Amino acid sequence: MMGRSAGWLVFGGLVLCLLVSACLGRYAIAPGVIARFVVTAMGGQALPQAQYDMVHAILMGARLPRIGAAVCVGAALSVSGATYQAVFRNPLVSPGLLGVLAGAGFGAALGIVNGMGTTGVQTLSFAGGILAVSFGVGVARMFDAASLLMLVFGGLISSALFTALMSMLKYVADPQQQLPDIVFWLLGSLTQVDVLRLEVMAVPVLLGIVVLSACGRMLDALAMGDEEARTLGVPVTALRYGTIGIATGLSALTVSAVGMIGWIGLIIPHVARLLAGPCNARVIPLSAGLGAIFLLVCDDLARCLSAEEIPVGLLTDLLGVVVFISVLRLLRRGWRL
Amino acid sequence: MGYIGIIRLQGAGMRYPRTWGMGVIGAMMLSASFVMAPIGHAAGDGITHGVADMTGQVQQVPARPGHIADLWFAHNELTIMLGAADRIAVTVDRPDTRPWMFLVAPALYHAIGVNGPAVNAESLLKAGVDVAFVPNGSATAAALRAVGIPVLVAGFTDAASLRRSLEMTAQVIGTRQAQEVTRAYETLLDGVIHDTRARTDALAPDARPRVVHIQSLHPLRVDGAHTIIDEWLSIAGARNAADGVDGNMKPISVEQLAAWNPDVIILGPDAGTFDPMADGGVWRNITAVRTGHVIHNPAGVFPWDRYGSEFPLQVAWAAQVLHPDLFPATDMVERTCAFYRTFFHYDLDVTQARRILAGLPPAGATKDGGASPR
Repeated sequence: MMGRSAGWLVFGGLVLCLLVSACLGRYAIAPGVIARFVVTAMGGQALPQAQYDMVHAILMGARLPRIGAAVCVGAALSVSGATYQAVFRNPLVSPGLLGVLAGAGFGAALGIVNGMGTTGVQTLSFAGGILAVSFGVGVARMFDAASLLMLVFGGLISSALFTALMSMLKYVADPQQQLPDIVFWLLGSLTQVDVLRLEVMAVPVLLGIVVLSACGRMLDALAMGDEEARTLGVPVTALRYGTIGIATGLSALTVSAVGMIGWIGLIIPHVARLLAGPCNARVIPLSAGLGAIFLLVCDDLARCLSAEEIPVGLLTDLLGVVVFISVLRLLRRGWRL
Repeated sequence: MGYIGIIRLQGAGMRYPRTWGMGVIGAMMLSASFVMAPIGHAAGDGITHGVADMTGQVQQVPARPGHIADLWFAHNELTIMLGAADRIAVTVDRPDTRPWMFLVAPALYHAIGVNGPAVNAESLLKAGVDVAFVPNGSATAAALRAVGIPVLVAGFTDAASLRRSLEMTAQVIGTRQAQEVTRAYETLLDGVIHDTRARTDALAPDARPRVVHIQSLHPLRVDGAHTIIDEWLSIAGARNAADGVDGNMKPISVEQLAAWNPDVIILGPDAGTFDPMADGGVWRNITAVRTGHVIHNPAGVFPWDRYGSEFPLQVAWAAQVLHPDLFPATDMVERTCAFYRTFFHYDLDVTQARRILAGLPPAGATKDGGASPR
């Protein structure tokens, strides 16, 4: 199954998941009530005012922002992962390679320890992610700016540094209140996303996905090697750092909003390649759709399985393992292992 | 004689000089004495007695330990109540988070503050600690026992185990005052529970308000079944509305809270700022918010709603707040002052008592700013 048909399939699956997710939740709202709510919202009189107010609050205040966040975060992490894998020419690379996750975690922990509110924690987390990647890239540039291996080493050093700093903050955090908050944040959850935060996140995520998708053909040229890409007129260094910058920004933005969510950036691009082949111009947008579906399903489980909120990062880890094992046989052929 | 025999045997068979053998044996004996002998020093005259901790494990503790490491947040309050605040040499509580505790027991300012129950055993030895109290499941206990410090698990999870923990602590402190305070406290505890139940047990299920106790608003965390919160809610004539939640401080979604639709919401002292307009208006559609039944829990030496000795005050407060018609004569200001006078030997004025009931820190101390030592 290749190309356009895969795209339509994923698009159809995403629409279906969105509709199902809107009907799922701990507050039972029948699909018929949602339909009548829509009629009332359009000027009809299908629902009594009190019930309309409650359904409006649940859907618009709690459920839909969360669904929107799952779509944005899933898409952003997948696209980021696909870009990293293309730039580093390595199928085992994920968005955390250059230290963005460790840096975002450190920033969030710093905000929590200093008693900041949600907005402050998210801002510091975003800044921490960017700072960590800048540090990793800086280390790489000290030795060899053009070397991919040096970038990987820079990322390793940055990850280690910011993980250590985060551990230090966990050590000094108040064990009664702050430490559980840090741990909960690190597990990843979409509970804190409201309409305002979704609006802040959605526009840059959409722009980032569009730009990275547009770079797909140049990333294909890059896969042949730097010299070959240059002979085809691709500005290798600018493309490499530009796409890494956008992909890192996407990761930092999403991680700062919802905490650590693993596996998506690693496995979803592989699934996209199975469906659409190796061409990055197709893989990147397809990854966006698949990542959105994957996180949407995980978050549906996180908010519906029990009265207690299950951290969605925990579910992406568990389901990610299952998905990875399922596609490993097919991937193995492609890697010739 | 035995050692000499061994030296001769070793000296003959292995051809080592006799003096060298003596040196080796001497070093071994010295090492063994370091490994096997308790390093923690016994207080006073060295007399010890056995005390069973909350797990049933018997520990030999000094008759009157002079230096206590209180490594569970909730237990410091018990030690203070039993008249041993000045013996707390190491504490996990801090003036910025527990300002009333340090106001009532300024001796704690002289204690070494540690961040959480995972402490360095050598630090406690240096502080001359004679006995340590730790929470349930403490990973530190084994390390402390290995260096000879008697460690007692002091954790409690309900009123019954609170009594046992208090009795155990009084045994360790080993004074007549501690025993008397324990008896007085148990009389009060039993009396409050009995008197409250006498009026609330007859309530029909429909007459019991459905209450959600929120420990944290960001992230949203509530307390479910099998907690001390569940216990005082039940005694006070309420139902815990957090169906399907088991244990303390469990994260939930705001949609789940809307599905429970509680009649009353009690906000813990450290829950954060409540905004009824948050989450797109979900909160303002919940019955408790719509009817103005969002209540802040009192917090004194320790947060009343959690695991602490102010449990009788919490029961009386919750019963009066939830059923004012059943408890019209309860004067919480007076009760709070009396409790502090009796058990903490501290004379609260009316303003201070009102601040405690409102969950506020002492005047002049911000929520995280700490209180000045007296």
